[in-house]
Amino acid sequence: MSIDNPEAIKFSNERVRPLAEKMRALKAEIDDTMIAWFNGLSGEFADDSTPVDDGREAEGVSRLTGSDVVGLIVVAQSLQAAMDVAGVPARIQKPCVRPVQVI
Amino acid sequence: MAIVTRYFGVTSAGAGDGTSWADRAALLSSGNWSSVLAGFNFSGSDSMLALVGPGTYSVGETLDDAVFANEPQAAKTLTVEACDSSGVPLSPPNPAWTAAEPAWDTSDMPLFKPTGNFLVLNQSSTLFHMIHIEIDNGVLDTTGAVTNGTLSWCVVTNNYTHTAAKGVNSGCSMSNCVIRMLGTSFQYAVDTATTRRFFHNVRLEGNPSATSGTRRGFQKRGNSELVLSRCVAIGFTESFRHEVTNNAAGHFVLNQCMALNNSSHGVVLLNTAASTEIHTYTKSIFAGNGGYAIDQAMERVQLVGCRFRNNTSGISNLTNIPRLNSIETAGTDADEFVDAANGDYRIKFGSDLWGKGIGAGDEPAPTGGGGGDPIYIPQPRYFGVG
Repeated sequence: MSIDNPEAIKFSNERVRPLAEKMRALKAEIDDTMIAWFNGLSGEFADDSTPVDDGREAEGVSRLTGSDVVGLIVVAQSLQAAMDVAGVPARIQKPCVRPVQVI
Repeated sequence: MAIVTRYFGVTSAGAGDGTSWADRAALLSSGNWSSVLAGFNFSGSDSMLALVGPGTYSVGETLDDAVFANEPQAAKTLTVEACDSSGVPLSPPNPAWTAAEPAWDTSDMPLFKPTGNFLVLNQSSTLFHMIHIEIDNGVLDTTGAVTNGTLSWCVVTNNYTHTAAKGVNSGCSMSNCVIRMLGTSFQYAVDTATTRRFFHNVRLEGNPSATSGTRRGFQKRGNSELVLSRCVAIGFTESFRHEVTNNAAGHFVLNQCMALNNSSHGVVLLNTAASTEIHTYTKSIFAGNGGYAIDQAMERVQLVGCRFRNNTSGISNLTNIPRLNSIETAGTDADEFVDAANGDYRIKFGSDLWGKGIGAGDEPAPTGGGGGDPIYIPQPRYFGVG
């Protein structure tokens, strides 16, 4: 017996598989970001209101502070931990079709 | 009737009247097109061949009808062709180049750089041959490089990051060209509206790191035929998109084309009406797309001799479309392409696809032969079912 409902097959092809590829790519990017963070960059960002001098405010983009960056890294770390649980990488990989593409 | 040859450089030399390379005229004066070019009498009996030497040209206005005292016409055209630093016309460095390969070395080609938000070319009886057009990211440009006109062995590079950044617009025909959209946000590489157009051996490169804008390769919007022969579109959201939603949409034909590594679908067909058109896709490759190879609503598609592989959502959202003589076995870029990591998507010698006329070009056989050499078609051709 198999799952042959056309809507289910459509959901599998159009939602599940692309989502898996995006999750796999996200994990690879988080892993790479954490390597950069712990290789010295973490020391540049105090967990306070010191602004990042990137000049982006002229574009109307939100001005980041040290605590903004630290806060996002904390979220990324928790996602990394969740995706590193035994068995999870394989679960994400199984529906993937294309080789990993992280640009 | 004659072809009048005039010579141009970044700066003038000798008499500066363009009658020889030694007396070449400056192509642009304070960004405006030379009076030697703009003042030529195209309403007489002659056409002009404008040979343009190497260098960077800061284009300050569009080359369009308004520039000319008497603009180029169908039987009296303007050809702007690259020449070397002796006034000898340039030939393509690799006449066997196919759109499956990265662009050739453009360093010897004249480089036209618009200085503002306007087209470089918008003149339907003008041909650019061996010209590189580049739009810098610092230049506000949402018009694209070319609307009307013909491009032959040209490269268009758009570095501008903007959701409305464009490559080439409707009214332009191309053969043996490369369009690069390198901004992190852009709209499309090629758009066609209501004019019938034919593209042969054209390579479109999108920026896979781009994160905003519609980021489409070829986009057909008008009610007329669009025929693509040996065209390759890589790294967009969609390679080929048919926007039209009515019964008179016109055929959208792909022959020996390649839709590769797009974040979404290879081809998108939007028509939900009872379209009378039949879109024929023959010997084309759809691989590595993050959605379907072909995402279609109600349009009629004939698929003959195509290769489908590694498309995340599958081949098509419609499961009742026959795929005649298609190849759907497992495979990888490394198996089938010469060097996908470096943008060389020629079919690798020894792969199962080699020598079968599938895709935009084959790697030459070790003896120097091999299939897939580009063909030079002076007139549009329509490709039917294989």
